[in-house]
Amino acid sequence: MRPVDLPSYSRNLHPGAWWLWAIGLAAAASRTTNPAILLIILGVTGLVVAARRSDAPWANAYAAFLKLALVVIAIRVVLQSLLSSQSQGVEVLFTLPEIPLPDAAAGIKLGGMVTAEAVLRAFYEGLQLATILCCVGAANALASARRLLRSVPGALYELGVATVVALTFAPQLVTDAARVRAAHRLRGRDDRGLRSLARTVMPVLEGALDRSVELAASMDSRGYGRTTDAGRVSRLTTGLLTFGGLFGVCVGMFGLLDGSSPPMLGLPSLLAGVALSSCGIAVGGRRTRRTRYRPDPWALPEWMVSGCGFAAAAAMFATAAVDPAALHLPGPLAVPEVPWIAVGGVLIAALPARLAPSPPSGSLHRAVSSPARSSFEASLAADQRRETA
Amino acid sequence: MATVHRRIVRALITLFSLTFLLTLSPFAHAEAPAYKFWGYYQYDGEWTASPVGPAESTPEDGGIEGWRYALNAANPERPPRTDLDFEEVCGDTEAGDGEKRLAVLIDYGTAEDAPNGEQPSQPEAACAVLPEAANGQQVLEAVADVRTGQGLVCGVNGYPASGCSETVANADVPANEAAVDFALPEDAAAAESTGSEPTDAGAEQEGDEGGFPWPLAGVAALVVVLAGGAVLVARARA
Repeated sequence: MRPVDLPSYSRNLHPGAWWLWAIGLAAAASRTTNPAILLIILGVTGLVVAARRSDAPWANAYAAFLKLALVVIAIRVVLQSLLSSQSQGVEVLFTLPEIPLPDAAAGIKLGGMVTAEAVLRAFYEGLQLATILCCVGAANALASARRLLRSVPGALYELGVATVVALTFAPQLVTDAARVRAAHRLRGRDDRGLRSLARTVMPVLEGALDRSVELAASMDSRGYGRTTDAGRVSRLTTGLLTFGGLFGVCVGMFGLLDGSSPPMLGLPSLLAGVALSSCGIAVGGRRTRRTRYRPDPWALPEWMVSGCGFAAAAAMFATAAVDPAALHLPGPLAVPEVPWIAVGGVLIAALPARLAPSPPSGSLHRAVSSPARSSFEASLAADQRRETA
Repeated sequence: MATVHRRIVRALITLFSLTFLLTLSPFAHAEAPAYKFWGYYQYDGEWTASPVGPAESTPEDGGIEGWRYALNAANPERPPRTDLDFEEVCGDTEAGDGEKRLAVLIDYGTAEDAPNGEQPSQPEAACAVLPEAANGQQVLEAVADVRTGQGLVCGVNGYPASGCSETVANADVPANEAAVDFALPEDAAAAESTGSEPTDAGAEQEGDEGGFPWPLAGVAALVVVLAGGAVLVARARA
């Protein structure tokens, strides 16, 4: 057993494992409107994020997503209970003064009766969306986008580098804009309004251009501009296979997450997409002889974490096949059933709070998260070793 | 240059007309897909499919509202299979001031129409008593559990358990259907009184779980433990 196979060995889990775990939970949440299960999924994501997030700046993403989720629920409840006449039931909570609307505005009302059914329906539907949002938020908080991009296959290497550069420099734009505006203020100029915005945009763009030219030069000097001698046909097949495959993966993910889509759209096209893109990546990978610098290992904890997410989705799909009535309330006022298989599956997804290795804390992390640019250049220097050819 | 331009335009026109022909010809003659869904009907001498959605119609006192789960091709309409009249359903019910009485006939349809592996229960009739302004959907909600999705009535009393409308490619819709027995309100009352004790509809659901919803309490405890654990862990790490 290697040390990386032990959950006690402190390191960053492979970001792909976190994403698989989160996608499993999101797929589970997408198959039910039962508030009991959705609340447990929310609790599970919160617990795992609290236990295994790092000190990096993106680790706060979960709180932001949670707030967004609450806003989603609030908007849904307010709009549906006050503006829609389609979901009103018979248990009147309170009656607001109503503004009569012409007949053309069928299904819409302003004010009037607000019933318990309408409020609960809106809440349950909003809760489902909120839960899926929190699953995505958990993946964002737990997995570093930069590390994920570092593990893109060789065929997509150029794309990966471009995205990493963009991700690294995007925060810098904000800092730049703040600096330029502060300079404007110091000179006694107004820093509000459209004209000041126009004045800010120019220097910021100029700075960005400067920086990109500088970066391009430094990358070129380190051998990044090396062209591989691949034929046009091989490049085209690689590109077509890869992007066709990725498109299939997107369609498949959509099919899996949307319960009402035809079944052919789900797993089959996901598998076909994965097969296509792995072909493309294999073909493309043959021509690039790049090695990866300190690759994230895919060891036992990665298998366990992604397996836990898979277990949650599998338990929910099994319940949907055996006992679909438990996943959807017959009516908004009904007492929710508790399907224990589904709940058990979701609870398995809480295990990564212990099974995943705890992320390293302290100086190493701060170095990664501190001035983005210098760390990027450090990683450029380090990546240099990949260019063995 | 001009010829190239013309050639491109011609190619485009060919392409468009081809796509147009392709989309028209094979599907125009193919059978239109049919959908399984809860159809909303009103009785006025004969059953007619309601031209507006349930939320937009305001049925009047003494009306008969029909709901039928069936594979409805556009033609023929498939209303509830019954000829019950208003008095048979609402005869024993009285409405107060500013209220209306409506007979609601719910037909869960045939076993052939049932969605994947579900069994339709016996059709039932109920009398709804509501304020004058209540709309068709509220009338249904007064007598049944209604599951909605995207503004449509998707399930009545938990049937079907999931999904909203099912698409069937090659529909074979039976024409004249024989009337079937509907469970009348009196039948339901009689069945209940033969049981151990008379309960009202609200208490019935919780009665199944012995009065107190223990599974739900368990879930609530679980959520509290998970959330509390998250907060404690976050505090400890901060």
